[in-house]
Amino acid sequence: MARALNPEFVRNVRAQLRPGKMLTAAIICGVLSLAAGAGLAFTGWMDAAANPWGLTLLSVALGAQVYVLLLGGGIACLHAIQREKESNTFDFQRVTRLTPRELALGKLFGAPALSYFVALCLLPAAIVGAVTGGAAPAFVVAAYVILLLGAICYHAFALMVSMLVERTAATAAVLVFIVLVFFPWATTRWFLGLSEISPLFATELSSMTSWANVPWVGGVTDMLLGRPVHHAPVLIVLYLAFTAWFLLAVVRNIKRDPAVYELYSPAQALGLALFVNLILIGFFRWSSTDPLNAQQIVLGFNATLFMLLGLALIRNRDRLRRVWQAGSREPRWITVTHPAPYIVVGLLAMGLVAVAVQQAVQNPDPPWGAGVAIFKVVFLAAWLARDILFLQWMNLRRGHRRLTLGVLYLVVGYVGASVLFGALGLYRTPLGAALATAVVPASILNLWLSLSPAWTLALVVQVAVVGVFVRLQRRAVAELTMTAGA
Amino acid sequence: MDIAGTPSRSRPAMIRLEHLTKIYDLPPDGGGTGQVIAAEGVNLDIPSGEIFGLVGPNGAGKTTTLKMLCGLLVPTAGRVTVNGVDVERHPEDAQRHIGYLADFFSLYDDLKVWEYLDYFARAYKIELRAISARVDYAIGVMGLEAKRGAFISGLSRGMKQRLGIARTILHDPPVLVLDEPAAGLDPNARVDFKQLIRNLHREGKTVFITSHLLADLEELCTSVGIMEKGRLVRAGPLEQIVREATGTRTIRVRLASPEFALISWMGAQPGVVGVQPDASGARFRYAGSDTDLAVLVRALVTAGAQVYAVEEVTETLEQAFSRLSRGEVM
Repeated sequence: MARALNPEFVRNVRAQLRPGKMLTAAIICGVLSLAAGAGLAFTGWMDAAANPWGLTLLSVALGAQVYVLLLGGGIACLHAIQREKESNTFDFQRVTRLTPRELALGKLFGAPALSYFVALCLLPAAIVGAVTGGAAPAFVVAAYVILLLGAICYHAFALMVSMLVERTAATAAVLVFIVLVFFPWATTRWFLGLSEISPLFATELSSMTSWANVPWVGGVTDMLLGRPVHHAPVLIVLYLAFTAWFLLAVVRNIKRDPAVYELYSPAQALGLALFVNLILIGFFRWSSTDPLNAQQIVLGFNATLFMLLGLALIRNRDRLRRVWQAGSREPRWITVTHPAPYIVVGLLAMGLVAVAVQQAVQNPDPPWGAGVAIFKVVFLAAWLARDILFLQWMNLRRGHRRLTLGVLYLVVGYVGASVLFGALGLYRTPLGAALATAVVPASILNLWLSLSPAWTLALVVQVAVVGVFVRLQRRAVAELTMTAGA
Repeated sequence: MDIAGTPSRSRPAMIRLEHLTKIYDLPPDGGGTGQVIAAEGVNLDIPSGEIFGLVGPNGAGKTTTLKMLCGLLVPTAGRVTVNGVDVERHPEDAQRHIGYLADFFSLYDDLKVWEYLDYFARAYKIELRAISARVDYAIGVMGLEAKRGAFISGLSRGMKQRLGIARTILHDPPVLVLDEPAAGLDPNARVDFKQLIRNLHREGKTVFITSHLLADLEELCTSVGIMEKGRLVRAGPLEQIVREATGTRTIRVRLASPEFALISWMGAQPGVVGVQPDASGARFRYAGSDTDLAVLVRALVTAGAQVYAVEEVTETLEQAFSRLSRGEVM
């Protein structure tokens, strides 16, 4: 049967699961399980009523499995492609007949092979705990489904990062990944009716005895469009969906020349934005959030989301040359404005939907400036177009890490301008705030009731700057295509 | 360039490079146009069964061309087909026909030799029943039988190079693309390697090879191409390239008695240039045809020279390359 398995998976298993290594891992897990089991049993024996030691052992074993799979397996996936590129073995995989899907899946399940084995070694302790603690089998099974799907989702994300990062960024990527494992969506609880998305929820779930929804307390029950739903199926759907999105990016690119990586096509990127918005709008706590605050969060989140998608769509010089040389049917106006049209259309659509939903669900008391809300969406779209065109233009200039430099310029520019405008007291008057928004548009999110001509002027300034960057990009494209064609 | 210059070579192209171009960007302070043209409009047809050697100085664009041929780099412009399959459009299909060895490469140190080959046999989708036989064949051909069960981490540099080559031939591809394959091999292994390439050639494989060891290439190749600054300046059968590089033939004449004033006599003949004294005679470059040369030799004998040998001195590939790269030949 092993012969029919994915070759990349088999290679990883062979390399990681040598008998000696497996024996060592099994002995360590056995000793730790025994120690934990004995310790908990002893304290349970001392105070049986206060300490159901079996369930505690189950919870401890499950928690250990979560950390082993998420951290150990995640870091293995973070190295799965980046290390191969570094050691010049990746090109040999790229020239084999493995399809991108086979290669991606082989790495997804093969790279964390040792972590899966260690988690398996901890399983007996969990079973003993479940049996002695009288855990409900359905909940234990559900907990393991969440653990497994959650681990796969985190691994898919790590694999995607591994494909993208260079050697110097690998350590930073590991740190970011650890933060994601420990604090997933930590800051969203206060505005989303969605409990923790970490697979650590499995430890909580394993000791439950009823599927009945309980009032939302940030634990078991989520609020989807105002209705309570159990967190377990929500998590399963989220894990499956995000795994698919991450894997899509990996499969699209894993066998490509890294110089022409493109995480998603524009249509796929818009699809991802739509999906994330469905989650945001669906789980948003409309009933308990102040309308202005709700609008700030939803539109601010969309601006961030589309900025990230814009970054993913930005082309480098190689890609643009190839688009040009391959006789692409892409209209010229798209070439010189890419990727702004996708970002603008996406943000306008999602922003207007969010405003419409807010009006329907919250129906804010007067004075509700629906026109102002639409203006905000348009303004945000112009802002994003401005910044994304700046970054695209930067990335078409010669030199190393132009995109990183462009992002740095933006950050420094925004911080510097904000400090300066604050010191000048611009934000204290409506006129000053409107004028400041021409440079630092984030404060547009505070607008609620009415518009003054100064805001319109600020919008005109945004559009004018967009025009400047389109001209710059047109010039860069002309220069690039001229030299490529020479 | 079509290297199938003669009727006997007019076979269908196994490898076809069409207007292949690759442009890399330089940092802004790199001067000039700010970009390096690693390959510029390379056109090449290599017929089936050819051993084609690509030579050129460092940075000439050889490795870039090889990587585009294998589908590892996307060309800025142009197209590559291998055995009629477009490498960019149908990479998995094209890669079935290609065995690729990079110049600097690593292996999986945590695998054993047979496991490494088994992995690639599966990755190349060799029929499951045939995998162990192919692994045994590759191990046997490269003389790795004694290391079959050894971990790769314990192999010497030369052994690792052999294993790399074994991987290249594992799936029996009709095209082998080898970037500096003899680097790191000891003299015995190089002899074995050359014999392996000859055997593969006899089996009908097409080999595309780069090397700085021009003497090795001269022994092996049936045709060569010379790259300079991204351009393929010459390509064709080996003897033709050498001939083109010199422009003239070098002829050596030996006399039985030294009394004859050979140097001055030769210097006065039309078509003769660069006359130099040589052991018991002279060597000169001659632009005439074989018939002209026969007339010249008859005139020399008639003039009283006791000629006992006339021979054409063949230039080596190294000399030809040197002339071409110095711009002596346009």
